[in-house]
Amino acid sequence: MYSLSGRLNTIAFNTLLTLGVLAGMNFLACYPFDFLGHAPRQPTIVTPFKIRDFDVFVKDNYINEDALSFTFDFKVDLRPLFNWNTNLVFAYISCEYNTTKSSFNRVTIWDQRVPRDDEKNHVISLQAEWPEYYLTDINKLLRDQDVTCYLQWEQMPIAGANYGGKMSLGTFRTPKNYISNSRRKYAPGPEGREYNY
Amino acid sequence: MAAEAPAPFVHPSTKEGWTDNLYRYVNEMDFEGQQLADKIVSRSMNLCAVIAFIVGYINQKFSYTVYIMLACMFTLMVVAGPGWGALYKKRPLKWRKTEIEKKYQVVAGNNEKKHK
Repeated sequence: MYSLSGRLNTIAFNTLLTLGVLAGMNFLACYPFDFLGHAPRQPTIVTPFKIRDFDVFVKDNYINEDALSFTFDFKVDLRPLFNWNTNLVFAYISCEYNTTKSSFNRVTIWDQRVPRDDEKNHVISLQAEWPEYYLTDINKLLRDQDVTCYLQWEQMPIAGANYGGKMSLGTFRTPKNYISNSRRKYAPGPEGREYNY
Repeated sequence: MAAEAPAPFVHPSTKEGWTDNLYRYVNEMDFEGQQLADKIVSRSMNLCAVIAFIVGYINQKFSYTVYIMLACMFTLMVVAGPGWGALYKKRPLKWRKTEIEKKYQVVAGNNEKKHK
């Protein structure tokens, strides 16, 4: 403290140390409510997940697999996941299905990163949205199967490790017969559509 | 020929300009002043941390906490950084006068003393 540079250095480093301690206290103030509570935070569903129609269900003889695509409606409120320790929430919808020959398949059909300052994306409302990838089966056994959909999210906090959760959205049944006859396109939906990156 | 007393030798370092005085004013502090600066910094940093945490928790925004701490840091850099005279220079050190030994003193017309 005997020189100007020493004093300024002391003040700056004390501030940095205090900010570190405050970030640790920030994490401790949020940790019990996210994990140890009997009701962990979950987003609230406003409109349930509903399939509008199946627009592509093809037995692709070029790639030798089944491919399924559909349009869906969904509206969810992600605001319960945001506390003062949240930096980013990555929300995605995934479909899981089993066939008689393959025991576990999971396809992510929609995802979005929702930062903390992006207020208008805290409520996600999708209408007639196509998935990002086809639901495929290499053994061509996708007719008349049960498909379960889950909403999963990963939370990236300001201080602390990433963590996530999962929520079931319901089950739907694939059609009993193929719908379209031609070879499928590269990606579901119309060509040149806007992706939500 | 009466030898006139040569001007006493004055080293340039004893003559201080305004930049030297400014630097000394900003940089130097008494010991009591340093203790006071240390107290000011540590106590106001603790108080500011508590206020910043409470404000951030109530509003659920960590950016408020960071902004309050940065404001505290810049205020402290102005208050406790330079050596302000009113706070930090109340009990200056008392320096003794310089004493040069007799055999090194420069006296007029005494060149014979060197040939001892």
